Amino acid sequence: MAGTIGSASEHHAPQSFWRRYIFSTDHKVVGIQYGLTALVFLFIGYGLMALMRWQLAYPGQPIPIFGKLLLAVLGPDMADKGIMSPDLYNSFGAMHGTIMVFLAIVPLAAGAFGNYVVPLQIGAPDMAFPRLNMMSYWVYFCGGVIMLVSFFIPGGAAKSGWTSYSPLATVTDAGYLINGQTLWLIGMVFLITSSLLGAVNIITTIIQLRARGLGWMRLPFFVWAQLVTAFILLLAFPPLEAAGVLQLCDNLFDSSFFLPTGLVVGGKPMEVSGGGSPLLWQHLFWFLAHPEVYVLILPAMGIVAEVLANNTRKPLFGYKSLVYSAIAIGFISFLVWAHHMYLTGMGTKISTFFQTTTMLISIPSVIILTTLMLTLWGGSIRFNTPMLFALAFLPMFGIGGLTGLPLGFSATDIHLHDTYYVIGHFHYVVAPGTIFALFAGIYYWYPKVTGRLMNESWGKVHFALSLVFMNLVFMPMFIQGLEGMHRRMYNGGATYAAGPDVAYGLSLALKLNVSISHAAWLLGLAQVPFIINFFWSLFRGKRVESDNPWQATTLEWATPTPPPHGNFLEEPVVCRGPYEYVPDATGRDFLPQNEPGTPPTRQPAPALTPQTQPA
Amino acid sequence: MSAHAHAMTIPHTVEPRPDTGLYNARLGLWLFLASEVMLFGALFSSYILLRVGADTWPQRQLSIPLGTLNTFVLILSSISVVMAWLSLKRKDFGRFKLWQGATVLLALLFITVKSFEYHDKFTHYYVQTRDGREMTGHLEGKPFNLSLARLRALPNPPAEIVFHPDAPAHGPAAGQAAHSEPLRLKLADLVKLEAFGPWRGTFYAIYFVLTGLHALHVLGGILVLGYFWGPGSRMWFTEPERFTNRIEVAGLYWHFVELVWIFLFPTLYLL
Amino acid sequence: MTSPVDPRSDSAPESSARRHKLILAALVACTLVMVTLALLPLGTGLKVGLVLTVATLEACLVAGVLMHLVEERKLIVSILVLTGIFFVSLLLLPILSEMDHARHFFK
Repeated sequence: MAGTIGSASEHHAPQSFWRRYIFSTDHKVVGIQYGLTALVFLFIGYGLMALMRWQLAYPGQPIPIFGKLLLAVLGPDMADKGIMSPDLYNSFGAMHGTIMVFLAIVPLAAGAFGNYVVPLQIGAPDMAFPRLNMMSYWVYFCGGVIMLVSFFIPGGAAKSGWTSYSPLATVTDAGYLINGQTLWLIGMVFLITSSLLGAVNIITTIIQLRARGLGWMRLPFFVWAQLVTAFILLLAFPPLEAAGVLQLCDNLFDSSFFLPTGLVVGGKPMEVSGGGSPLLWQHLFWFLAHPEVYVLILPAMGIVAEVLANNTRKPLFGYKSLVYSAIAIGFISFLVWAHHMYLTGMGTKISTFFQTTTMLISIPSVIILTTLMLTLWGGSIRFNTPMLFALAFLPMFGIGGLTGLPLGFSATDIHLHDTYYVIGHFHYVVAPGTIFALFAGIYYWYPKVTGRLMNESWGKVHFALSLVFMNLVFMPMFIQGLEGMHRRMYNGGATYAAGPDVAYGLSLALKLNVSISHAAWLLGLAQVPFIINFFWSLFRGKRVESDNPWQATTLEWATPTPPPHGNFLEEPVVCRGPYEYVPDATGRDFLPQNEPGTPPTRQPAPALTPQTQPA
Repeated sequence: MSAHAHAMTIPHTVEPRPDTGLYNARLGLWLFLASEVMLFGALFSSYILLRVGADTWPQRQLSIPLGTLNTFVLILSSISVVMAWLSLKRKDFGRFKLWQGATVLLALLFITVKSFEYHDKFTHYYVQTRDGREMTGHLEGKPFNLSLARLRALPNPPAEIVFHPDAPAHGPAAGQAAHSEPLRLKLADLVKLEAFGPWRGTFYAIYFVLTGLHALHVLGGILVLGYFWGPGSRMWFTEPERFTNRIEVAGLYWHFVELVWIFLFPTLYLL
Repeated sequence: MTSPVDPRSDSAPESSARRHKLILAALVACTLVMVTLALLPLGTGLKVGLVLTVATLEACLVAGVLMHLVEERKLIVSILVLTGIFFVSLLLLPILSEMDHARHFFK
């Protein structure tokens, strides 16, 4: 990198194609890069699952079309005659989870939306460390490439779950020194590094670069959500990086961090020193992976809050409760992780501790959901596409959250752990939960980024179909789980149904695999209008007539469309809170944060009971 | 993308923000150090779990004199890196070069001592013979990281090896006693031959990971501090305040590296 | 030049040099105390406790004085306190889980 001796912090708009679009330090370009890359990974992660769902619905049958492709590309070890082998199923399962969590959702929620929107919403010209920002994206990109490459090496991709428990993760494919698990671990080091650097950037930006007048309690809730998310990433990721290094040592250098003494593999004692603990891996992994789920949901809550306030034309209910709840979630999330380990033989004292913290964290989550729902009361609701997705988020996240409660209690978790109930629970939170919020964000901020609106009718089609099929895919999974159907079984648990004494409930549950798979494939088809709309609208979408087409109050709408290098034509000065939706005499019902002038007095909220005297 | 080419300034890269009193890089670096605390914390947590769960834990496997020397080296370098920053605050560029250069040299000395220690581990061997004898010691010629598999895979494998067993351990106060007579061991009689690498046991494994990761951080520090001593120091003549801030921030990083060693040293060498 | 709100204003060169000599001596002394303690025939628990206490003292000197934490802004200190809470829970909770195990752990 050539060191230019010029004024330190001055950034002139770069001129060459490479500096403007590929190696750009402009947060908006970086945000778009994160967004597009993440959407590609979302598509790949979906594809892996779609193929797995064939094996679950029709175990042992050759996959149409893709079976031949898999056979040609990956060879008969993986897809003999086009049928998904158990190894291939396991590697698709592990990589589906890894790709969706680390390569799709987090980069989209924090990398794309965080990078693009946060500096705009706080009135900053860019992020605090623009070059670091560019580096974060490219490190993420490299990590993603490493993960994808792992599919094509001998032995195939990692196949020990996204959770990579030892000793399975060390013992699998031990015949190859560099195997899928090794690449998974190296890829994770890249991804974690990218997230850490991104988190440092976002936190410093929010603390240091807020515009004049933008005090803490005037920040849009989206910015608070991103701040808490960044702190979680900053402090929770390093233990997984450490654990990854330790597992790499086990895999490459025959150490025994996670390998217990006396481990026997394939009838032969393993030639390692032993003395390690598989539970150590679990503690270190879940220390990150639990706070990680709050990284998945908090930006989504932030987006929903913005869209709800804007489309109800009234302030968010309980702004302070939202902020304090988000902070509480961030803090408590570090202390709940072993609720993923109830079945490891932990004693009652420590299980009680983790149960208690798990129940405690549900309180701020419910407060956030409830305040968002209460925001709707008395609102003048506009049912545009972003609003539809934001509205659907509320009950979907509600189902996801409530179904988590039996998992949080160790007594009920004994029956439900590692069953399809768990899969149903967390997918409800992330799929019709977070992903719906991300869709809302895309439809909402698309006009600011591109200067054009996405097509409303097709947006509504996308929404309706997605909502229906999401529920058809994930709701039956609760039934399957309650009937005892285990997760990660490559033939859909068909082995269970083979015996003569199988309970009726379980055999019914297994039949549900077929309808779930069909719904999953239709869910994929339902995304086609979105994909077409996304690209078509870039060229043919209706142009916006103003810089603020949604008539919103937050600062990102005070820039030209699309925002230039440096974002604001003049430095914004904030004079009020973020959601001043108040009708005035001229009929305008919102007051942007940076517009000078006193707001009109707010009318009281409509009465709950009918008044005898009209006002 | 608009072709608007006006210059854009990131506020607070040099002058602190009034309400936080910080310039961006200092906040950024403290945040980074917080994440590093969690990184090494995970490794210390692993150490605790592995040690408490072990039947026996090897002690006095590392040279206390060398470890103490390295501790003094890092302490000195911590002082010199602060002196480098203070020199810049007093506008004494010559003194800065001196102190910064001293820091880099001390850091290089640390790495040298560490390499020597690592070399010692990889030339120290454990052998197990067919008749059940287990010994530790050195091989003639001090080969680096030999293993039974590698020996046997040689085009002309030797029939026997010359092994210098260690003297039996007397207690924590005793140093290395002289080796006893060298043994000639037949290759065919050997069941196991391995150096004292991470595979030897969880103590060695965690020792190499902890000190290895720490050493990587020292190397990173050498690169950064060295860059600021050399080509990066040109910034002093164009933007002295920004350069001083960079030196302060690099110094903070260096102190953190020393902080980690302050806990590594007793944990691995003394206890 | 130091900004008006920077708490670490320039002290006179002589007192600064003296301050750093003191710190150097203190750090070297702590190290020597640690090594001595380790070589004494004490019980394991006591030895671990004492040695780590001295190490913590040494760390506080480096962090507080050399890294200027004693005069650093509240924001930074509170971030570090938060980190410290998570650091302690990461150190304690796994070992507490293992000790509360149904069976003697690792066997």
